[in-house]
Amino acid sequence: MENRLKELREAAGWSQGELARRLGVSRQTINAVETDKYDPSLPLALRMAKLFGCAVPEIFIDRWEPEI
Amino acid sequence: MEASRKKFGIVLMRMAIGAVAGFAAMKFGLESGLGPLLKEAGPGSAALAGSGLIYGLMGLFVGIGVAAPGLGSKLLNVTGREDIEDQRAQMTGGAVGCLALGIGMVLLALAGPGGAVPGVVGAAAFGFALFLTAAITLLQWRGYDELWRNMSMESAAWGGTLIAMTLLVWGALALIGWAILPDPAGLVALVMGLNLLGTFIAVGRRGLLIDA
Repeated sequence: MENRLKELREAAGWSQGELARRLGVSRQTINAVETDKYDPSLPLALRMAKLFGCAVPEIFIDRWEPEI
Repeated sequence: MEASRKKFGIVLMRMAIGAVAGFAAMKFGLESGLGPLLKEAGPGSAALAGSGLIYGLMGLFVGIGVAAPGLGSKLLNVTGREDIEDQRAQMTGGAVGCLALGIGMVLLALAGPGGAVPGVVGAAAFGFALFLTAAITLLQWRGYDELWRNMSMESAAWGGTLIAMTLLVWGALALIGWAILPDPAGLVALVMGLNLLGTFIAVGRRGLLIDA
């Protein structure tokens, strides 16, 4: 899933390793999310949102729209 | 874009070097040390011993990488020095598992009828390696983060699917007389080889074959 994790991380001045340490995951997990190779679980997405002080949809971009 | 192409090129080059080195080591091992011992055995035993050498070499390379992270970051595709230091326990477990499986497979290959190793020794060594690998995975499971847990399950799914599809198609073709089934040693080699292929597919899909 398209996301703004790299942008937010770089704005905070953190390396992938630093963000991984703060979230309690491996650096590879951060890299896989940033490169759209892995969609994180809901708990991890919520932790990311909490860490960056924003809502989950501000990090992960879902272009799906419900049919009315 | 240019940078990621360059990285991909480096990965491909490292993989090609690894494949050539692995093939050369396997050929050397089969023709020199193991060659005379496998003389009486069928082609399946040679395939099993060759696969065992590949597993053993992988375990050796990862082990060297863990022991000397600076050298490891150059030897291994997946990771930099920091990652190796961070994941020392997991990588050590992987190295031990691969080495044990490699030794077990070679001993099993040498344990066929008229082989150089007593059958019970080959079977026990291979059985122990399987048990050890499963135990290491179970012990390390708690230490995995969600990406590694997912990859572990995906590699099992890919490996299982590849094994099932290959054996089903091969079996069906053999049933109608269009193919000959492998001998028992070839069957073990096939399963172990496809299992390894499944792991590479799962890891590659998550971008872990490219250093980032």
